[in-house]
Amino acid sequence: MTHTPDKLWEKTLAEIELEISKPNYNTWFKKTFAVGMDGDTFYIGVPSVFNKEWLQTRFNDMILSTLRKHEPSITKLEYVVKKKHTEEEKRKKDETRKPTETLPLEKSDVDKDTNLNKRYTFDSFIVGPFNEVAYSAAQAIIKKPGVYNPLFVYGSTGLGKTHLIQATGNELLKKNPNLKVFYTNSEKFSQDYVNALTNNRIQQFKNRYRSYDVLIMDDIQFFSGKEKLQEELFHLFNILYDKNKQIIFSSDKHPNYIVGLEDRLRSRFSAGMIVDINRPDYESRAAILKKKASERNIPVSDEIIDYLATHIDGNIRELEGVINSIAIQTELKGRKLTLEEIKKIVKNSVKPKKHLAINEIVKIIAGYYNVHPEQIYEKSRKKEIVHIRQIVMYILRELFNISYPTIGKEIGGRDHTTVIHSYEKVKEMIKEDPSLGQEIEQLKSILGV
Amino acid sequence: MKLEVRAEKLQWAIQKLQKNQQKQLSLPILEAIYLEAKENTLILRTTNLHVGTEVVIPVKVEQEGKVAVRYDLLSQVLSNLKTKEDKIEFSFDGNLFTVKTPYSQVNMTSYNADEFPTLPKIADAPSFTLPITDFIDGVQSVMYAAAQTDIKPEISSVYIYTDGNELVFVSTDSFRLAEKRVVVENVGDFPGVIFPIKNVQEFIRVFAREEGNFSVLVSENQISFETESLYFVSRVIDGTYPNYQQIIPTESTTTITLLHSELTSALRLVHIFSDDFHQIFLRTEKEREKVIFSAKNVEVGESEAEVDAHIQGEDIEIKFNYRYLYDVLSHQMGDSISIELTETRKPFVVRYVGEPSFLYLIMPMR
Repeated sequence: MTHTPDKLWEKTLAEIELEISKPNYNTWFKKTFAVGMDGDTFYIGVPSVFNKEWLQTRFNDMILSTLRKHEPSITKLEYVVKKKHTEEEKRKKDETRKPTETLPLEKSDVDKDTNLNKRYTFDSFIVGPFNEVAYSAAQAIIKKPGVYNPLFVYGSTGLGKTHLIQATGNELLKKNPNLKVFYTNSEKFSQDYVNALTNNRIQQFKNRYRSYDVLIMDDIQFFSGKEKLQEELFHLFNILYDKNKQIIFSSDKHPNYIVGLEDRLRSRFSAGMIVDINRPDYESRAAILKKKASERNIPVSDEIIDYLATHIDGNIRELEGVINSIAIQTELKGRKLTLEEIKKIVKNSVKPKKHLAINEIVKIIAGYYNVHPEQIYEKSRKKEIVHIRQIVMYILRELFNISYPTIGKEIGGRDHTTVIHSYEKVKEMIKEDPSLGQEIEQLKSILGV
Repeated sequence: MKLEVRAEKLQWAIQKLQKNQQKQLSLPILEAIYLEAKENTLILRTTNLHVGTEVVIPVKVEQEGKVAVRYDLLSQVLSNLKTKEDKIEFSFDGNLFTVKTPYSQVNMTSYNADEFPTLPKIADAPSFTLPITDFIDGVQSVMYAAAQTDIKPEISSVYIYTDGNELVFVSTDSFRLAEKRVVVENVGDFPGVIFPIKNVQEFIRVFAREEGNFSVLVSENQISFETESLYFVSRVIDGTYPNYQQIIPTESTTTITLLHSELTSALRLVHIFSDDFHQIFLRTEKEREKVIFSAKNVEVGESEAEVDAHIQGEDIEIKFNYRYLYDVLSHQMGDSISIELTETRKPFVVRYVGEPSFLYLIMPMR
C-alpha cells in the first residue's frame, strides 16, 4: 500500500498525538510537515534547529516505528529546517502610509545557497536556430542529469550563455529541491581558492566544492594561464565526474581555442557535449525584441520590430539596450514613439563598424596563427603559410567587402584571380571542415565584426 | 545531585542566562533553568527555542545529577541571599531541589530534567576564532538601525559578512542604514549571516564585558558562539539581504561639518515641536557658515536653532525624521559629524570625522 508523504505524515502525527502529552505535541510536532520521500528515507520539515535537535534525540525511534507501521520500506528519517508558506501572506500587509520615502533597496534575487539568480528562467528564454542545440542539451540534462557530462556552452558575450546555464540550474532545483546545485564563475572560484589558501582552509574548500550534485561554472576562459587553478579544477572535475555529478561550463570560446588551457582539461571538456550559441538570426531577433517590449509594456508596431531586427544585428544585450532606451523615451514623451524617433535611438546605440586598415587585419590574423605578418605578404609557397594567406583574403573579401584587385595588390601584389581562387577555396573548405568555420568565427570576434 | 558552588560564580552564570520573555504556555518547561552536575562542573542552560544559552562553571561535585527548576524563582532566591554568604549548596533528591547556605534553606519543586530541550550544536561547519569585543562593537554600532517589526524578517536583523579582511555589520529598516567595518584577522571565508535582531540583544547580554576570543560557527540555519564557559546558539534568518551597496551615494554636492555636542543640543530643542512624523528641516547658509534646524507643529508651535558649521558646496534644504539622526548621535564615535548631501530627495550620508569604518545613510522625507 502506498501513500503520499503528506497523508502518511498526517496518519503518523495522529498516532503520535495520542501517545505524548499535549504541550509536547504542540511544541514539537504541530508545525512539522512532510517534505518528501526518497526510497527508504522520509524527509520531515521542522520549523527550527531546536526542533530538529529535539526530534532527533528524543523522538526519532518513536516517529520511525510509527511511520513504518504504514510504510515498512522507510528505514531512515531526515529532518529539514524549513518554513511552511505563510511568510508571503504576512508580507502583503506591508507597512502603510509614511511620509518618509524608503531607501531604494532592491531585494537581491540571488539565492544564498546555490548562488543562482532566480530571475533566470526558461519562461523568459527565447529559443531560435541560433541556440536551439544548446537549449535542447540543457533540457536533456534537466530530464536526466549526467546524460551529457560535462555540458560545455560557448559563444561570444551577450548571447545568453549565463541565462541558459542559470535557468538550467534553477529548473533542476525546481524538479528536485534536494539537489545541491551551485553556480559560480571562474573569478569567484579563484577568489575562493586564494582565500582558502591564505586561511589554511584548503580542505574545507575542496570538501565544499566536491559535495555539489550540480556544478555550474561560468566564463572559464579566465582560467587561461592560471596553472594552479587549472590543477584544482582538474581534480575537482575528476571527482565530480566519477560520482556522475552534472557539470556545466560556459566560455566565450571553444575549449580548443582557449589559449593557456592545459591539454588534460581541454580533453576533459571535450568528453561531454560541446554546444555553441551563435548570434541570433533575423527571426530570433524579432522574437526577442517582441518579448522584451511586452515585458516592459512598451507598445511597438511590427514595422518597428522589423526595422530594429534588421538594423541591429548585434548581441542580445544590445537589443535589450535599445529596448531600454525606447522604454525611457516612451515614458518621457508619454506616447508611442514614431519610427523616425526610433531610428534616431538606433543610430545612437548601434556601435559603428570598426574600420581597420588592411595591414592591421593581416597582423591580427597572423598573430592568431602564430606566424609573422611579413610571411603573409612574401612569396612563400610553404603550405601552412599559403593556407593562412588564403584565409586572410577570404576574410578581407567576406567581412570587409574589399574588392578582389585591391586585396591582390595589398597582399604582396598578387593577381585578382588568385584572390578569387583563394576566396572560393576557403568557402568550400568551410563547408567540409567545421573546425575551419570555427576559426573564422573566432577571428570574426577578435576583429570585432 | 549534590554540589557546592561559590555565590559569585553562580550569580555571574545566572545573569548570563535569560528568563523567557513571553510565558511559554505551549511547553511549561521552557520557563525552567536546566542544571547538571558533571565531573567538576555545573552546566546551566536556558532556551526559548529561538536562542539557547549554556554556561559552565567549576564547582565541587559530591554527586552528579541533573534537575530543571523555574528560572525566575531560582534567580530571585539567589539575588536575595545575604552578601556574606559565600558558598551555596545545591542538592536534589529526585523530588525537591534544595538551595542551602549556612543561614538559609529553600526547597523548590522541579521538572523532569529529561524533558528539557538540548541545544543544537553545529557540526561540519568551519569555525572562526574572532575577538569578542570587536564583534560586539560591530554589532552595537549598527543594531539600532534594524527594523523592529517582523514584517520583513530579513531586515529585522544585523547582517554580517566579510569583505576582504573586514567583517562588515549592517542594519537597516529601509529608512536609514548603518554599516560598520571591523578589521579582523583570520576572518577568511566567514559566510554571510542574517542574525535576527531579537536574538542579537540576547547575544549582547551574554557576551558583554567578556574578553578574549570566541569561536563562531555558522551553518545554514544557525549561528553559535562558544568560549570555554559560554555557549550561545541562535537561529539565523533564511533569506537574502537587500543589495544595499548600490544605494550608497559615491559623491556629494554639499558637505557639512559640525560639532557633535552642538548638533545634539540643537536637535533636542528643535524636535520638541516636530510633528507626529518627527519631521524637522535642515537648511544651510553658506555665507554665514550656519546650519539651521527647524520644526513646526501647527497645534503647538515652532522652533528653530542655529549651529556653526563648515559648509562646502551648494546651499541645500532638506526634511527628515529627527530620530534617525538622533540615533546615530547617541552612539557617539567622535566629536565631529559630517553630513554629505546630494539632492533633497536622495539619501544622505552621515559620518563621524576620522572614523571611515562607519557609515550611516538617511532617507529624507518628501
